[in-house]
Amino acid sequence: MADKLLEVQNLRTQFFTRGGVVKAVEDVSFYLDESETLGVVGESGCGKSVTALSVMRLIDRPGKIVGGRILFRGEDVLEMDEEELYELRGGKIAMIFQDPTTSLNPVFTVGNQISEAIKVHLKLDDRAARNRTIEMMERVRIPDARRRYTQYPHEFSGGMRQRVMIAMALSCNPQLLVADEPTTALDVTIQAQVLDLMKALSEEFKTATMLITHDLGVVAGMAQRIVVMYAGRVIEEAPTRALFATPAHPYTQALLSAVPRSSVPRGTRLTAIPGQPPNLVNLPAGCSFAPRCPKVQPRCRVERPELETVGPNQRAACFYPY
Amino acid sequence: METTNASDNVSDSMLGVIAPQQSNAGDVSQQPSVSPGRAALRRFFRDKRAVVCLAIILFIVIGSFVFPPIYQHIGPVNPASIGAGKGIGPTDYHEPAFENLNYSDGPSTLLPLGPRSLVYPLGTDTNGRDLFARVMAGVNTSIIIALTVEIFDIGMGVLLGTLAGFFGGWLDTVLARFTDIMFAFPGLLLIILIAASLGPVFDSRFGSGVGRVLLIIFAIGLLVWPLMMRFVRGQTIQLKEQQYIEAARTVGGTNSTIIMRHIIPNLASIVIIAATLDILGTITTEAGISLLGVGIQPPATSLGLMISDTIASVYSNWTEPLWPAAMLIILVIAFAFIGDGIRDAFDPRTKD
Repeated sequence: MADKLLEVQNLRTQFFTRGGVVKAVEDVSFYLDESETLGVVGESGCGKSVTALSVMRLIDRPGKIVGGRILFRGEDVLEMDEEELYELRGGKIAMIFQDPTTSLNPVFTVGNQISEAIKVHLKLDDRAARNRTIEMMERVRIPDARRRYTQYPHEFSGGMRQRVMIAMALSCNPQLLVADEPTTALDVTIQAQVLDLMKALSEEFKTATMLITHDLGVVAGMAQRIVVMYAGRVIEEAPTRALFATPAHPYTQALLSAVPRSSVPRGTRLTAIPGQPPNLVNLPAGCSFAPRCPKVQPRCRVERPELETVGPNQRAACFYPY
Repeated sequence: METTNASDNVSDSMLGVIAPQQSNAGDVSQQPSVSPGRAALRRFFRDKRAVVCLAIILFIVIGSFVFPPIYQHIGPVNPASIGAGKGIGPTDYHEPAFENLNYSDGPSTLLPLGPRSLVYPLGTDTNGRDLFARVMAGVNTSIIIALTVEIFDIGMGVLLGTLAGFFGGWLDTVLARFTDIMFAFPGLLLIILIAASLGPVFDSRFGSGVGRVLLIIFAIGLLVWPLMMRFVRGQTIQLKEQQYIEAARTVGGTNSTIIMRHIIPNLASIVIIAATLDILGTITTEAGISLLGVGIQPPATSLGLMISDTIASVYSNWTEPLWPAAMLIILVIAFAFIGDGIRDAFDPRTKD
């Protein structure tokens, strides 16, 4: 197996709020190879974004990373000092966010904002940074990049802004791109364009991508492997093909059956997963999915299943997989 | 930069020749980009009422600094009281703080409450001093106080507001409690208290003219900045949650770059709006405490003090208190309209 670019081991991130300790990420382990795309899937509040922010050490009070190791190229991110972190962020790991409407500062031109990071990380002067910025804007296929360089964010559409964000993220040749729901706020056609672009660019730049989404359709076409999260834990990890063909965990199965399909007859009700995700302050004993699981057994309610190998490269946290 | 821009234009126009339909498609966005600040400025200048008010304010403010030195050198020599030998020259005569014109004791003097003329367009006050010169001096005092208070207000408000909003924690708690205490005080009473109790101290330390001005700046400044801080703090907390702040962190932005680059420029609108309205409050507050006798002390003058000084003669010459009062009203209304204009300019949605 190739070198692991990123290896997260037993990560635990908690938020100490007035309502109690929110265990946003519990014992999460996964890895990313060089230039691999990993999909992280789960519903709202399952800890996807917190995992991503933890990887960049961007958890603010009241949150805290309370345990685990995050190895980036063998170096523990959790033990880096501020200097090294500033190097890491942007330079080695870059991030794209969900909402392109607020991800650019309205008072500076787009070009100014992209070139800022370039100046810091690549240590280029103004003119070189400008050229690099325009080149990056062209590479994310922003038409008329020279003119667009001097425009303000409000003159860009959502899709174009997301392209700007991608240009900004890739401008310093990061080895890992963390994309937190990059297409959720875009409409479907633009979504497809942006995804194609991300795929093409990550291949071109040999950047590994950690693609966080709640949309299984998005990861299907993009990721080589998928990690499914539920209530702050990884409950299944599998190559994309295997996950879609033979989902092991009942939650994954439920997620897949909830995807709307055009093949079902008209008038059929969409399948939904009954119930709500559990409260992360007060998790039930045993398997967190047990209260909603269609195949629940008495054992599930008292004992927590660990991630175990259930197939080739496929691991699931369930006593009764498939 | 200039040369690259020029070459851009050339290549653009060449493209236009080769592929005219393409340039047509891009025509809508072809107009040059404007920064949000410039766009707001442009919207402000479209508001006629605000622009007229701004022109009036600028005329009055600049005039209050420029006119007196010129004005003081024109006009006749005051013949002084009947039989007195030496006349008083125009420089002294038009000096707003000139004390030696003590003619108010009899109707026999020529100038006290004298008629309006070309040289004394507003007439003279009970002491025979030129009302026009005094109104200008009063405006001058009021404006100096208002602007200095505003600098102090913005400085303190932005500094502490961003720190409290951005970092939170104990600093935020301490400042929040402090502002709570400040808000709980009846403001005018506190200012009167400070002005009355510290007045003699400042008088002896800086001289009675400057001392009082400094004291009032100090007293009003102390009272206004907590509100500015609250505004800035609230806006900072809101801005802090914007994704571009988070994005700035992910590209390795430090706290100081984030505050300087992403927080403070985005505070401009709220600070400018609040400052304009604060100027208005400062002018009226200063007038109020001077009117009550604890502010500016004679022979120096301010609009409030003039109203209070001249109100005694309202039955013999009603125009005497009218001028400072009218000037105060003009200033207040103009600042209020400018404030409205600025608010609309920064937030176009409020207008529709």
